[in-house]
Amino acid sequence: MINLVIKYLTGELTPDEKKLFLLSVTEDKTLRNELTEFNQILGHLSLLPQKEDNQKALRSLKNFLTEIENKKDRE
Amino acid sequence: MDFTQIYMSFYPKLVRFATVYVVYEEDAENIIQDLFLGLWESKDSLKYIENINAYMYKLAKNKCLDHLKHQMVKDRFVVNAQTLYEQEISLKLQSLDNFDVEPGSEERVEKIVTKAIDSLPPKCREIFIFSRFDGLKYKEISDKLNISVNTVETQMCIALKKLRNSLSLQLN
Repeated sequence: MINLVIKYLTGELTPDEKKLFLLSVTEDKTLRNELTEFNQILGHLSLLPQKEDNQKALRSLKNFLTEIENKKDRE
Repeated sequence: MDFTQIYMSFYPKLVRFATVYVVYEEDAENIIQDLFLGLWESKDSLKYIENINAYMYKLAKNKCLDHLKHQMVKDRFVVNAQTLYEQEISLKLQSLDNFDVEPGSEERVEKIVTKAIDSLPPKCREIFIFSRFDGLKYKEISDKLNISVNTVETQMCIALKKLRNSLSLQLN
């Protein structure tokens, strides 16, 4: 079952598999706990710095500040 | 830290974090943009925040929780909407509610996770990094490494189980 939990969390289940999986999770507390646990791991992983973070942040910051300026102009 | 430094340090990782906990990826960026908009409006008081890591993680967590709760209520007003979507939201809510990084322990957690990834067998680590950090699907990884999708699946299971063991041993 761990295979399915991981495939679900990594977006690898087909729509039908996902439907069945979610039904099983509703009925199976152990499976639900496994899902919560692995989801937490992915949460921790998401907070690790990655090599393209700086470029992404810079690009997004420029857009963000432009939006703020535009908003000010509109007001 | 001023607003620009905070944005540069946290924006990408908080978008990734939100992506883990919302159902639709496109919502993640909107949630975090909204978070920074709120921060911009109170940017003069940012210098008084003592532990910016803990503050930002908490803020992102709460924003995602609000979003999920809002989606849950919204979904109930749609006819025949007792759907898989609602089930998914409920599971995400449960997982996110349990997610906690103790204030002051962010760097330690980061070190533990990094060390756990580094200690994976080379092939397993490579597959894991392709999947989790480069965003490749299992099929893309299997094509790239000339291995079967089943092998990718197995290696991902090994990697995540090892990470779970390392984290539960060292965080609890």
